[in-house]
Amino acid sequence: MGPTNGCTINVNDLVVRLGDFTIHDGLSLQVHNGEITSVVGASGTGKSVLLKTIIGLITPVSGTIEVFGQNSKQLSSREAHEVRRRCGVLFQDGALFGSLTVSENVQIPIKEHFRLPQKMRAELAALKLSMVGLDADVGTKYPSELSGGMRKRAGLARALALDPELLFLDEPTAGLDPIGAAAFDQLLLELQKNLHLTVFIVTHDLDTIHTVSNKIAVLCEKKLLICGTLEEVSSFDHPWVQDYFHGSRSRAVKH
Amino acid sequence: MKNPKGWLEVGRADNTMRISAGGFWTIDQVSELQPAVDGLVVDGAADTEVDFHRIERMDTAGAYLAAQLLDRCDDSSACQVYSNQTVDSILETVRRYKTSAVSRPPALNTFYELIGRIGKATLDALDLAACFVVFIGAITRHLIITVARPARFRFSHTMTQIELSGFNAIPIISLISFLIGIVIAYQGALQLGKLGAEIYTIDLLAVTILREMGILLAAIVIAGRSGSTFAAEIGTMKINEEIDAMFTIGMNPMEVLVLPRVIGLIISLPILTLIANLFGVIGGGLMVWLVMDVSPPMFINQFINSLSPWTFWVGIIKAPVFAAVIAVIGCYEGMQVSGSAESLGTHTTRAVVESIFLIIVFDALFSIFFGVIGI
Repeated sequence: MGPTNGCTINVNDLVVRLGDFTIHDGLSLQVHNGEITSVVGASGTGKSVLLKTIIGLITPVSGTIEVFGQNSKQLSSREAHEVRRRCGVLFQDGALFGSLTVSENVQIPIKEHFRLPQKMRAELAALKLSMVGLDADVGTKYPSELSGGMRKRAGLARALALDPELLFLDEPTAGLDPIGAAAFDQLLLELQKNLHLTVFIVTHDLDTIHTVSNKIAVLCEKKLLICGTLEEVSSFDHPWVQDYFHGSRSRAVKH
Repeated sequence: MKNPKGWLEVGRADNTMRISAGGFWTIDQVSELQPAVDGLVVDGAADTEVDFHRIERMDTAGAYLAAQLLDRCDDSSACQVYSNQTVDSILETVRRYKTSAVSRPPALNTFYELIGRIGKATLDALDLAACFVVFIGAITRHLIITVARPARFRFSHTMTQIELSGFNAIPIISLISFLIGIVIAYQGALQLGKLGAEIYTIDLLAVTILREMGILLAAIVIAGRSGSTFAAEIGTMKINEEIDAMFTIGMNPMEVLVLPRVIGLIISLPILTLIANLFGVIGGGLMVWLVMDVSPPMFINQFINSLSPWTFWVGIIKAPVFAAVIAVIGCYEGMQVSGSAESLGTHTTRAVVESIFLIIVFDALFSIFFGVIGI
C-alpha cells in the first residue's frame, strides 16, 4: 500500500474525452478517509462520468487517479482486483442481475472473492438485506418483481456485501419518495459511522447533501469548481452555486 | 493481501467458562472460525465470560459470527462480555439487524413439485395458445381497420421493414440457394446417371427448387434473421417501457410496430422466394453444364418443358403464409418479454424455433392440400 496522505481518492489533472467531446479538462479532486463527499453539478457536467472513471470503467486521456494511494494506471491486474474488492458501487437503477434472485445477487461478490459455506453466504446476504431495510422474503424474489426503491436498496446491499472501505453511489435517492429518501440518508449515515466507510456520492438531492455530506464538490466548466464543507460551498461566489444552494428549491431545506 | 489469522479459545476457571477471541475476525477468516463457534458447548449452569478485546479488526461477517457466539452464551445463567471500541460499534449494528429469517425458497416435496410443474406447464401452454389466438385476432382487426381507413397505414414504417428484412436479405438468400442448386444438380446427375436418366436431373431441379427448396430456404433464413430481430426489437422496447409510452401518447403498438412488420414481410418473402428460385436454378444450371455438358440453351429448353402450369405457383403461394407465420410469431414473442435480459433471450429463441417449426408444419399441410386437389 502506498502513502495515502489521508486521501482515499486522489484525482489529479484528469482529462476525459468521450468521442470528440471533452468531459473533464484538468479536473482534480481529493476524497478524504472516512468522509462522505457529494459531487454536484448541472446535468451533463460529467458527474457520473467522473464516478465511472474513478472505478475504472472509463479510461482517461491523461491525469492520474489514485485509489487507496495506488495509481490505477500502474496496478497489475491482481492489484486492481484487490482494489475493486475494497470498493462497492451502487449504480443508478441498482444494476441487479435479472436472472438471479435478490439474495443470490448479494451473494455474488462474496462467492467471487471468498470461499464460504453456502449457509453462511445466505445468512450474510440476509444480514445485508436487513441492514438496508429489506424484509427477509425479498431475498427469494427476482429484481423484476421489486419496486424502484427496493431495487436501489438491494443494489446497496450488494455494494455492501464485502464491507467495502469505499462506497460509490450514483444518485442513490433519485426516484425515491421523500420519506424513503430520508430513510436512505439515515441508513447511509449509520452505515458510514459503524462500518467506517468513505463514501463518494453523485447526487442532485439537496436533502442528501445537507444531511449526510461532510464535503461537497461542485463540477462546473469541465473542472472542479470548489470542494469544501456546506458553509464554504454555499457561500462561494459563483452564479451556478448561488442558484443551486439559494434557489427556490433549496429554501424548504434551509430551515 | 492475506490477513493475519483470527482465533477463538475456550478455557475454564472455577465455575466460569472463559471464551476469548482475538486477531482478525474478517470475511476471509470466518470459514475457519465457524466450526469453532458451532462446536461451542455452553454449560448452562456455569457463568460465562466472553472476551473480545483482543480482536484487532472485525467486519460484518466476523461480527455476524460473534453475534452467533453471543446468542449461544445467552442461554447460560450469567454472561459477561468484554470488548473494545472496534468490536462494539460493528457488533451492535450487526446484532440489531441480524435476523433469524434467512430467505430461502420454501422446500417442496419432490413428487408434488413434479406434478405441480406438469400442471403449470400445461396451463402455460393453454394460456399461450389462448394469448396467441387473441394476438392474431388483434392483428386481423387492425388489418381490417387499415383497409377501411388507409390513411392510418404506416407506409414509411412498412417500407423500412421491407428494406431491413427483405432487401438486405437478398445477398445471403441468393448465395444459399445458388449453393443448394449446385448440390441438388450434382447429386441428381450422380444418382440418375446410374439409371441412365441423367437428363431428368433438370426436371428434378425444376420441381425441387420451385416447389419446395426456394421457398423453404427463403423462409428459414428470414425466420432466423427477421423473426429474431422482431422479437429482440419489440422485447427491448417492452423492457424500456417504450411500448407503454406509445400507448400513453395514443399510438397503438399493433398499428405502429406489428402491422408494418407483418405486411412488410408478406410483401418481401414472395419476392425473396422468386430470387431464391432464380439463383437456385442458375446454380443447378451451371452444375449441369459442367458435369453433363448441357449448354444453357438446351438447359432452358428442357427446363421449360419439365414445368407443369402450377409448379412455380405452388412455391410462391406458400410465401405470404410463411411470412405471416414468421412475423406474427416474432412480434408476439417480443410482446411477451418481461423484465429481465434472460426473458429477452428466451423469447427471441422461441420466436425462431417456433416459426421454423410452424413453417415445416405448414409446408407439410400444403403438400397434402396440393396432393388432394391434384396439382
